[in-house]
Amino acid sequence: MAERRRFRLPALLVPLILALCVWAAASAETAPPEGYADYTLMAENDGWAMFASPQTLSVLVVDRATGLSMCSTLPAGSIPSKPKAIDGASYSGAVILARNGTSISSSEQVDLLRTENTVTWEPVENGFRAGVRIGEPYLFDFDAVVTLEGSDLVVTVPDDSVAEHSPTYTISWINLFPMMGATDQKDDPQGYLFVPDGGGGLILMNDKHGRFATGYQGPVYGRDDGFWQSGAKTLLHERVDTLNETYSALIPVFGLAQTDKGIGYVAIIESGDERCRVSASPNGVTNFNWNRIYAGFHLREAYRQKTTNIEMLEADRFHEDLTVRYRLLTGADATYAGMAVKYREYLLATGGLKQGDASYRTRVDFLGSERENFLVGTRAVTMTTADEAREIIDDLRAAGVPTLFSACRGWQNGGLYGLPVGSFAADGAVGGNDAVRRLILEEAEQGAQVVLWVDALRLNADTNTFTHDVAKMHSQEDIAEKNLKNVYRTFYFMLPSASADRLKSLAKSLKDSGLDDLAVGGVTDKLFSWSARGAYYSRNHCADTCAGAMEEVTAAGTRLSMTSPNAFLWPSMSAFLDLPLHTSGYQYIDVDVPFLAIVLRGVVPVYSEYVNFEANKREYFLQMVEAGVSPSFLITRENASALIYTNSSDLYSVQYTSYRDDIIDYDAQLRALAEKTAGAVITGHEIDGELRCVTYSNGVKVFVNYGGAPVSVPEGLTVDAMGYAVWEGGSQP
Amino acid sequence: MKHRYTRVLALCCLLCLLIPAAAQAKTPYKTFTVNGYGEMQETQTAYTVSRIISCLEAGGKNDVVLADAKKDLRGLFVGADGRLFLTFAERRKSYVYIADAAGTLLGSITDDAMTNPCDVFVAANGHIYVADPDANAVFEFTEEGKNGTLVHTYTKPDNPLYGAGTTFRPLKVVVNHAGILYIICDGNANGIVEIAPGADGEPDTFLGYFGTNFASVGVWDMFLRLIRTSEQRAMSGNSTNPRSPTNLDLDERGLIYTVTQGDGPATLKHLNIAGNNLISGAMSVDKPAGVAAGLNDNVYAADEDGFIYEFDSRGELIFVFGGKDDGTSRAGLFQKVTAIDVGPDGCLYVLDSSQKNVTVLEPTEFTRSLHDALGLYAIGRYTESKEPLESVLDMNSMFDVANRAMGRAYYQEEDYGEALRYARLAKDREGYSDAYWEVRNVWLKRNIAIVFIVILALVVIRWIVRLADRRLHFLDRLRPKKPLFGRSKYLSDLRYSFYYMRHPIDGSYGIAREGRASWAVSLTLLALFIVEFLINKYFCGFLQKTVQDGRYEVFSDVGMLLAAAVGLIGCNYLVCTINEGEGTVKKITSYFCYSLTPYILLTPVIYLLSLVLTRNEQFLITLLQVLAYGWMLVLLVLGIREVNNYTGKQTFKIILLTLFTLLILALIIFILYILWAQVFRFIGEIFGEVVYRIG
Repeated sequence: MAERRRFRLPALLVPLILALCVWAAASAETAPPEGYADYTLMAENDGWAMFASPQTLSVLVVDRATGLSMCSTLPAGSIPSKPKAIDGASYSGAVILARNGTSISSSEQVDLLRTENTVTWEPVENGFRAGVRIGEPYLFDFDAVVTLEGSDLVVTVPDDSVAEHSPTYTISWINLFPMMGATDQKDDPQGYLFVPDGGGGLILMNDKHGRFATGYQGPVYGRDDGFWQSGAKTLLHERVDTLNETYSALIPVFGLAQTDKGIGYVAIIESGDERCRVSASPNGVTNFNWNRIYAGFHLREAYRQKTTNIEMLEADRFHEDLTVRYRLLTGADATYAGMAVKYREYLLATGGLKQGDASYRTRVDFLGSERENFLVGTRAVTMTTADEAREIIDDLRAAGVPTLFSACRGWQNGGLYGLPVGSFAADGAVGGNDAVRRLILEEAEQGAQVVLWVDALRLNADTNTFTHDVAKMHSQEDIAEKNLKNVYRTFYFMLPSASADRLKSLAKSLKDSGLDDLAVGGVTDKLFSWSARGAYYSRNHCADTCAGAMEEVTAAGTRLSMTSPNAFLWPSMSAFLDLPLHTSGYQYIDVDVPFLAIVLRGVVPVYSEYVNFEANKREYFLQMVEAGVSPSFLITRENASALIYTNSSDLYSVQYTSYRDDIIDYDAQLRALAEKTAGAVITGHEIDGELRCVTYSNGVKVFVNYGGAPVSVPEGLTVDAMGYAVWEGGSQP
Repeated sequence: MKHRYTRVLALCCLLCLLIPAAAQAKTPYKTFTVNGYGEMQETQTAYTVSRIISCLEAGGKNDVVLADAKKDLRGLFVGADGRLFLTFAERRKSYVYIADAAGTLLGSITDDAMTNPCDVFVAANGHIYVADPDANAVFEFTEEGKNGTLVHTYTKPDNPLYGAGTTFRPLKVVVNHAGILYIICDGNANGIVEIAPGADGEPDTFLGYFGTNFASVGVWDMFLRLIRTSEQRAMSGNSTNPRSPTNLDLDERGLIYTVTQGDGPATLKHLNIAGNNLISGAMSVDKPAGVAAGLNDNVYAADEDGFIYEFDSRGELIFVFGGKDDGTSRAGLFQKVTAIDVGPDGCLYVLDSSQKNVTVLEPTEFTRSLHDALGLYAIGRYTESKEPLESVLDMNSMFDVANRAMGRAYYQEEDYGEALRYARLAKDREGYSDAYWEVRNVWLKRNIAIVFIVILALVVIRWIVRLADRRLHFLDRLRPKKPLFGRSKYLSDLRYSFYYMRHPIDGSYGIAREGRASWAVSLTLLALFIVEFLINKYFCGFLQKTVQDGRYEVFSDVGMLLAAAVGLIGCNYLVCTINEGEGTVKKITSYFCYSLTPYILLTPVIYLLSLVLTRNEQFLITLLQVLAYGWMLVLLVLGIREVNNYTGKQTFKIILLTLFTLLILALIIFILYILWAQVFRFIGEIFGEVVYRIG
């Protein structure tokens, strides 16, 4: 018996000791890292641990495998005794900009360091909920819910928790986690901030020498035309506007990577994105030597009252939960390509993007008819009839371009600017309904996808006397675009509901004629607030209305190709038209990367902007090779000089005879490339000086050399100057 | 490979100032050219931002950050070897930094005497000239030694022709192959100071003022000068002085380009050895800051607000692009441009003193093709120039500079049909006229015999028919029993307008006394006049056309003509009524409208001639136009006199009074318009307020 007891004791002690060891080891791993001793462990899982100092909403995530960490603020333990404004902004996990009264000039920073406040917190599943009460004179309340979901850190400010008790102070902005992953330039960090401008850009973490007064300030989905008022511009000879518009951010995403450490994140603004702005500040901006990027939510916009010209704030604030999901990245994933891949995975998992038929097609759009002034009215300028379009497609097919995607512009009654369009009524100049229908159906039988393109947003002021469908700004002025073109000089924005109704009726009309495709622009890349009959509507209403309409149209069986669509429309998108391959060219953006292309390539057909108007054709061709997108051409049968007195006088180069050879050549090269990467998505993208390497999920690598000399790569290929090469895993093809 | 790329990317972080800024980013500006009508027209991007140099790399702490400059960056020069020379002033010391095209610091030039370098120029012999207004000198350096060696200092010329009271504050300097300095001095409106260096210790020689601008004195200036006291004139400054050039550069032949603010079409000048301007009427540059001679006989001018102009050697605009930074800090937009220069590779270097950087712009494929073509064309290799021109036109078929050059190239090849087509596309009237003359000549050579034969045949046939009719009278059945115009009053009166045209005094008597005044005929003639005016205006031959193709302002035209007619007739009636004139409204309307007959008869001829004549035969059309308008005027004056029974003196008085009344009427209408515009605006604001309140 005693022997049995002796045997049992070690048997009990061993597991006990082992368990203690494991516990001790686990305890050691979940202890906060150096410099964050006051932080409390809030949640942990196999990969990550989350600590927090709730009093300042300072949240620290630690990669358990490597011990690397990122924090939403500067370490709470190093708060200076007399904090300045910049300290308040960098040691607080949430920073509010408050307005006193309606005056635009009295924006005040409210933070958790310099403003009287109380923060209470309670644990919730995988995280905590902090209740923030800002004291006199601001009297704001809000909660912040922070959770760790796998490798995602999610922060939410629930809409119903936001309260403004002060009679005078209102919340203008809430910036969340303004220092998440930020790096101090004096540490000589290596890495970059990813900004969603255009196709995607990087701001490198190098010494900017204090060159920039501001950083990137990009409103997600572009500016809000319901509030926007153009500022003073310097015009050439006081009449010619020489500036191009900047690209807008089509995706609610930003990111940060510390490439020297191998840690970073891609942040997805899940909710409140319609009123969110991505702010990226490289070192030196406002004499602050940190590189940082964060999301700011605009709860109240300002506008000028129409009659008095007094600056006013919105009476009611923006209502939506404010949620940012930080998908944490480590190792090789902590790059912009890793960010894009993770974002794609997120979209596919949440239904934000649906796998479609991404087979290769060259896009050849046709311009049907335009209008020019003639005597007392206007007359049609026929650029391409339906029959001519068919001849061109047939000619290209005979020349070896088997499948095309063609969006017909200016097919509708009244020509390109015969807007709005609510039914299938083709212009007589292009051949009428029968000819257009015949073109689409007969070409479909032979593999070409011909669709009708329509601007579902704009209403032509010159052809529409009744403007009850026109959206108004908060200042009660019509939302209008004015230009100095030849024929039509004012276009109104329609109410989102009117746009939606017309889109649905057009889709139904097409469906009744046996046509299942439609290409849409206008509403796809414009998102605005508006007012109607005394009520005010924010951008989320616009987004909901447009997304709902498109969902309805696609549910009814119509495929929608979209021109530069904002991300919330992607669930209904069958093809992405006019994918930007550049950024807007901000001085602080150091490198353009094909982030959007990495996300979308292989999931849906992706088409470039028009090749016609590119001055550096070879370089643009290589960019398409790099991004894996299909080229786009805008084609007419007639010479572009016929357009000189129309609104399309800026289409200076569109004649088919000028582009026939280019179309055939581009198609041959890009189709061959697409065949090698058929069904694959992009998994990697790397830059080596003038050389870029794109890796596909099937193992194929595409090397693009923008340099003036050939380059040899380790895979055994030589990439020609201003050329490209494909590596399929074996010898050079 | 990933790790390697990561390391490389990290390296890029360190060296990012040397790599293209935002490579391949969207160009923030549009590029424009001018079409044949002189209007701005958008075209392909001509230049893209290659890189921005904001720091001259020398490794770590030795880097020269341009933002650290204590004074404006104003001097920039790009050498034939691609090296960059940049003036830079610190608080106590000033430098000329030398860097390679990528921005790597290669060396510096400095001397204690240099206090505020404003411009730098490197001569053919490698000597570096620095203009320094605060030191009142131009310094000449060689690159020998660590910080260069000062070899010569040019100070104020000791020459009475320079002007004893004239200061010597050099702002800009260039030096030609002979070593002669051309200096723009602050506050010196006499012209560019021309100095020859003294040889072997001899003093420098002031050669005089070069390329002096013309002073423009308006009537208002003369009036002010007349009424102002001498003190007032002194206080207001001497506005009659010519403007001083803003900047200058040398071309390959040693001729000087200058830009002068406020000189309108003479802003850009290309001065020959005698100082005469070789360019007439280049597009104005509002705030010229810099000028640089290009590689293909072209020239660039930079506006302070960031607009970059490219002209050909004749001063015709090829491109204008760029713009002022709108607060978005985009590469390629500027805040305050102070200098521009061209590299040996055709890249443009633009110095911005507010952003404190140098933006390097490189020509696109489109621009390179155009430069190739224009270069070949300029040296007479027309056939070779067609290939790059075709490439340009493939990319932009509406690019009129290329269309014009293509037309001229075809003309030189004697392919006049194509030359005509391209000249028409380019709206090149001179080229079109030349080509059309040749085309017509060819046609005439081929068909002149047939034309004469046809004419001869028609004459013979007519003679035979008349001869036969005299014997056989077979045409009698076709002859009307009564005269055609005698059948109706309307037709008779209409015929009378032709009589009036030939016999205005008798015709006026008929209107006044014989009941020849007719509302129907008058209005018919007025309608005919308007219709012919419109047809001739909008559908005449290209060389005579005064309006652009496709631009129709028919309502405006008809309105203006009717308003003028009603105004003239009405005012004339009012004046005649109170001056014992005998004309009624009907009679006055009649003589006014009947006076239009010469125009109605001659305009179809003018119209037809406009379709077949070239600029060489322009005088024929001009002659007919003068005839038509002169004849109309004579008829009108005689009509006023005869119908109202005035003497010559009274007629003259009535005409003046009519014109004066017309002027008063126009003034009243204008005042009423202004008043009513205020009322309409007031109503509009009330309406807007109501809309705003009720939503």
